[in-house]
Amino acid sequence: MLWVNRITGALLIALAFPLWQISGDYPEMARLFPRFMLVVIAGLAAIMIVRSFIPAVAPVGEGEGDRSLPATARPLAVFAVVLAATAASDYVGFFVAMIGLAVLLVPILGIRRWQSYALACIILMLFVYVLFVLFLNVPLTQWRPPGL
Amino acid sequence: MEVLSIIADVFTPAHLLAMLVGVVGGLCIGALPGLTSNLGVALLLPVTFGMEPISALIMLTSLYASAIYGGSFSAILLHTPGTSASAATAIDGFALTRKGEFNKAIRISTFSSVAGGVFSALALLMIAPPLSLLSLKFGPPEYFMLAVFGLTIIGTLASGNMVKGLISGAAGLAISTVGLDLESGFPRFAFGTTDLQGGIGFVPAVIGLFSLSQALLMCEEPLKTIQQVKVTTGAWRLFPTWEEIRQIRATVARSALIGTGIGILPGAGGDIGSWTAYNEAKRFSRNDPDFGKGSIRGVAASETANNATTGGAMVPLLTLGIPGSPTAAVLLGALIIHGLQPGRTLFTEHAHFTYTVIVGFLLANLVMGFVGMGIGRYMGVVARLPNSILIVVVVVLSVIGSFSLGNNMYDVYTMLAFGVVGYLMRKGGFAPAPMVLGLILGPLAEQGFRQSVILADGPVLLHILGSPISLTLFALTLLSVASAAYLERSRIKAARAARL
Repeated sequence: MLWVNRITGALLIALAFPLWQISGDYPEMARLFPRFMLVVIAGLAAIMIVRSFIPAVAPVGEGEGDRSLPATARPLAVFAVVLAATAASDYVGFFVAMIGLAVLLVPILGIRRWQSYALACIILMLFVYVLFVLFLNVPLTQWRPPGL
Repeated sequence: MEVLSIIADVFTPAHLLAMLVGVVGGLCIGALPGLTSNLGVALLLPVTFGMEPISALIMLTSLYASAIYGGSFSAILLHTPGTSASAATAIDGFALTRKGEFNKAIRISTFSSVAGGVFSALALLMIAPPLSLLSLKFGPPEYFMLAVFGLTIIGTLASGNMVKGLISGAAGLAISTVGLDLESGFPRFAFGTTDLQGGIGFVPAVIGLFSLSQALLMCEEPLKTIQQVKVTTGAWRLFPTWEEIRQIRATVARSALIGTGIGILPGAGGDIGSWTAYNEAKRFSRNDPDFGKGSIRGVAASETANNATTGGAMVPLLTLGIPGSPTAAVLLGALIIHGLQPGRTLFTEHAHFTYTVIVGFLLANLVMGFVGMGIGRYMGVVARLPNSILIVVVVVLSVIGSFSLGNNMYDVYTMLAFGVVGYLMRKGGFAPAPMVLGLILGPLAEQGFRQSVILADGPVLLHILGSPISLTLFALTLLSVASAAYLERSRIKAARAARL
């Protein structure tokens, strides 16, 4: 975990520099607070890096979830599918996209008892339709022919 | 007459329905291991957009209270706390279940949760109005220091790692500056896009940071199921016996005080409250051989205190705008979204709104008890839902919830971006709650900072620390940093000792 702290700290400091430069174009009062916060973030990031090199104060056992790389691959794959389904919903409509998402999640999550999963998805879609479409009148995205 | 009108308003069908939805939703969310009250309030927030403010806040505060109580079901039934606030309940609650006394554990948990919640609601009613007078003495420097103090306390005590918590909070403040500068009209960090000129939406960010990030964490163990425990319930008794009440009354009274007091402290939530009360109950129960092995006093201590923190957490929220817990931070956002600013005006101009919400919160604690005992024996089914189903539910509700805010895809992409950032933050040990608070307090902090700079006749720091209130807040900020540093150091030492 210490290497995560060092890389994150370095990234935050590296990010603060271009943002400081960009804020130079703003009126004086408009850039004051963002710059103040950038200095605070860079300072705290530097402290985090330094602490990771001092054994007596280096943090132990931080972070949630599984530490292994394969365990992180699955959530990132799920995120990619959610992102794709969201983008597709603009063309194929919300419900088709979400059903597609639910289907794609089956192999990614390794679901074997698909009957209960399918039933839960149907109930969820009905709930969404009743609450958001009928009750709250949310104009969910609809299917639209290509080119429109 | 005003009191009667407030009580009558609470009992209107719309408000009662909102309360019931919040209570049932909170019970289910609390009972599901992994889903927290933060996630529940964040997901429900978009649904309350079209509602009138009183109904919206009654629904959200009801969900907050019942989610904390709901955590006791899985703690008692499955030895898996639904929320971190119910971790102490699992010790004695599950031991009672193994003895075949599931019903007894649930009715003690319900009675104690209701007692703690009602006590804290009454405390809120008594303490908040006079405390709100303090906010009248606040000028720009005080508001700036208040934001710094609120962020420091959530960033240090509530997040576990001081530096990372502070970075998370500072990042939230920095992100809040994205968009048009309200004074000059100049777009900041918008990179030429019109969407970013409107700023980063608080609600999509909260849904991403709390809800989607949790769904992504659950993807690491999608097939995780909780072992079913054979439950012998026998006849289902709804209320505790007089003998049971006699046994726990002192514990309940003590824990209610502890929980409310800890809840009022910004940053200290239900988990700290329940463990403190549990340890105190242990100290007072030296002659109880069952303590830790199935004692109703253990269940009562933990459950009274964790629900008592909910009302306590709303005291600094309503009076000064400092949330007492991460969930209260989302409630602060809900208040602002509905056009209400915490402080004295909530108890003067908007007194009807505020008192109706508080009385509604009090009633919700009672409703929670009846609903909880009514559906308690079936909650095991809810608590055992596999992660794979919860993931798809949370993801779909996060997407549609963000879309419904303004019927645009920009909010959905904002939620997705904060979702993946929140996931990576949690993996790296950065708590998302300080970032959420930074996003909420950002405009207030910036305004206070800028006005202090303009008004300062000399060094800005001296101007900011020029009043007794600012100085007190500054001292409290230093104290919170020092105590967090001490606690962290002790934790690191203990962790290293355990490794050896």
